[in-house]
Amino acid sequence: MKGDSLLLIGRRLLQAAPVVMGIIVVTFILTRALPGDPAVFFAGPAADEKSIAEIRASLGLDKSWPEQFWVYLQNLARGDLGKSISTGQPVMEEIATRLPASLELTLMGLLLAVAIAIPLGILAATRPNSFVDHLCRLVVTIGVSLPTFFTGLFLVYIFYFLLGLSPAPLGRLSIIHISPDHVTGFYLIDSLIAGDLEVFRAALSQMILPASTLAIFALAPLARMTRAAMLGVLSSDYVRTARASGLSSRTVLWVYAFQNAMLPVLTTLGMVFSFLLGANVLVEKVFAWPGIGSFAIEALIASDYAAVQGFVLAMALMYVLLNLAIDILYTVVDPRIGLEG
Amino acid sequence: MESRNPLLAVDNLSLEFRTRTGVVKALENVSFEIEKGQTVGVVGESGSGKSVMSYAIMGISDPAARITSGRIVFGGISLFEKSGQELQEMRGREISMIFQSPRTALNPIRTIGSQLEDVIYRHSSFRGRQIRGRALDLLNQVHIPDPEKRYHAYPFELSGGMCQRVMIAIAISSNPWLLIADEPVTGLDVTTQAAIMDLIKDAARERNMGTILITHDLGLAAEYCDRIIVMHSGHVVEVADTEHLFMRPRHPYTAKLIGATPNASRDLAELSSIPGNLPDLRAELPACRYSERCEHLKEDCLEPPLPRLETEAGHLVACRYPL
Repeated sequence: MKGDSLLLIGRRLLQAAPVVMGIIVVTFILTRALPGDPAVFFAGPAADEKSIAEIRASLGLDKSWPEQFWVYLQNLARGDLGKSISTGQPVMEEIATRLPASLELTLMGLLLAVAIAIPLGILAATRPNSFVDHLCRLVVTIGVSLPTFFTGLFLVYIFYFLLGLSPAPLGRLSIIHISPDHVTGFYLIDSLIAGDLEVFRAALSQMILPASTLAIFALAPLARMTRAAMLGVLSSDYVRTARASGLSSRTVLWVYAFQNAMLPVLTTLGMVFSFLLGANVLVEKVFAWPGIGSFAIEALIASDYAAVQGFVLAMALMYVLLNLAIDILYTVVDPRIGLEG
Repeated sequence: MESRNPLLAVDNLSLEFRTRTGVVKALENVSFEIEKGQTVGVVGESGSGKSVMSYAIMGISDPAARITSGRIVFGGISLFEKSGQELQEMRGREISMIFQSPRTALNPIRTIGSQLEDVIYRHSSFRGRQIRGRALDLLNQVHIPDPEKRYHAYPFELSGGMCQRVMIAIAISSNPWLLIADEPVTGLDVTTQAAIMDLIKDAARERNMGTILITHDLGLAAEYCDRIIVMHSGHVVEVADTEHLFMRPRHPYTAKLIGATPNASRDLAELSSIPGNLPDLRAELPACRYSERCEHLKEDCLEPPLPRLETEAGHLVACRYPL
């Protein structure tokens, strides 16, 4: 069984390769097909035909698309995503410094959502029509009906403006703190590695509101799927068998019902995570979070095509990796995969 | 003392489901007894309450089910007086059950070995390596070829017949006194059916275990059962020793059921079907729930109470005008 799943994981990895290639092609074409000429943009308002042509040549835009694509590939292979026009920094560097901020926020939001949604869904399923079940329904309705930017602003209004419980929504750390030494790029982890509890607390307090905003958004599908999956599994034949065999309620619930119910929840989790990456863009804007989402918005407004291209590529790669991870997790959890695939 | 007590006595059991569309009177005044080592068949068409009754005996009824009257006495003790914890410990140890469609009745993402171990761990004093030894022993007893290898197989990797053998191994792991087999061979091919039924029969004989065989296949019941209970829409309409029942059915429904069962000596053309359908159990029902379909209906058949006549020793029929 073990060797089989390793083989399977290898095959899934190979299957991901053409997808990555496709993403590279699409981002390349997309940015070239966009209206507006970057050379004109670069040259500035006072440029004449000649200087624009020079800049076009220096950017390599006078070559044919296949040639440009070849150059683009070579640059990619070297990890060169071009330079951002608006910041003047290499796009790769921008993304590398901003991605951990986004990831940390997203993961924290997801973690919060999972920690609340799964117990809520299980309780709701095991006690249908109880108080918990109604609470679950309420939370789900709230979660799907409130847009994230609204939840974000609402939380800021209550907890920062009215109650003064949380710090100003201005990024990952207030200015009085110095960011911890870079190890993982996640402030919460880095500050713990550095043993600086005060920075940890400060980073955490900055993160609670934006992470909660994302969590409220992610809660709904997770709680609903957990509840539905648990209800389905609890009325399944094998749970009936487990009950008829006199297994303890705990074993029936956790070993027989929960493990099976987690399969569809896992799929939903993957989907929710990719939704969150998208929702992140607005939440980062609301909380002045220095992640790749806010970077992308600025780049888009400034027609900064190298930056947009880099952002799209990074996000797409993350989706692919995420789906790969979910697939692999699935093959580990569900023995039936392998043979059918 | 003990020999005079039946192993299981279901006494005037009534059970209803409260649903959104009304109260479904799924069982009404069901009574029967089972002796040690006896195999009793419960027959009747779908919806007659066979499974509902067995779930009630197991104590695994749907949460919407309410037992409104009666008792279930097992080994001289009323099951309704036991705590939930006590009932849970009895299940799988003293009363076991196997089901239809064995492939879905086993946990799809757990190896059959682990599922067997779960039950052994729960009900025995075996620990550690002993559990595995016991599990392999059981797999051998139910004639699973190469149990060492099958031990790590998942249900989807085994045939339906194999899965039912695993189910039987789980059910008999604690040498229970009573085994309820709910349509154990429905959906299996004919040769497998015979093998599984023989396995159940042998396991019951070795342990002097009472067996309830729930089936809609009268032929199967005739072959394996000492006694047969005929159910129709939540009523027990006839109880008799197998031979008696087939030689001289007294309830019109039983006679119709036998007439609808194919066998070697009868042409397909001679098979009759039973007219009408089961009544809607949510409605007000006449005393005799078969009355609507009955060819021998008389006026007072609709009046309560539903009689329970003993036409001869051990032959009970719930009909005012038995055939």
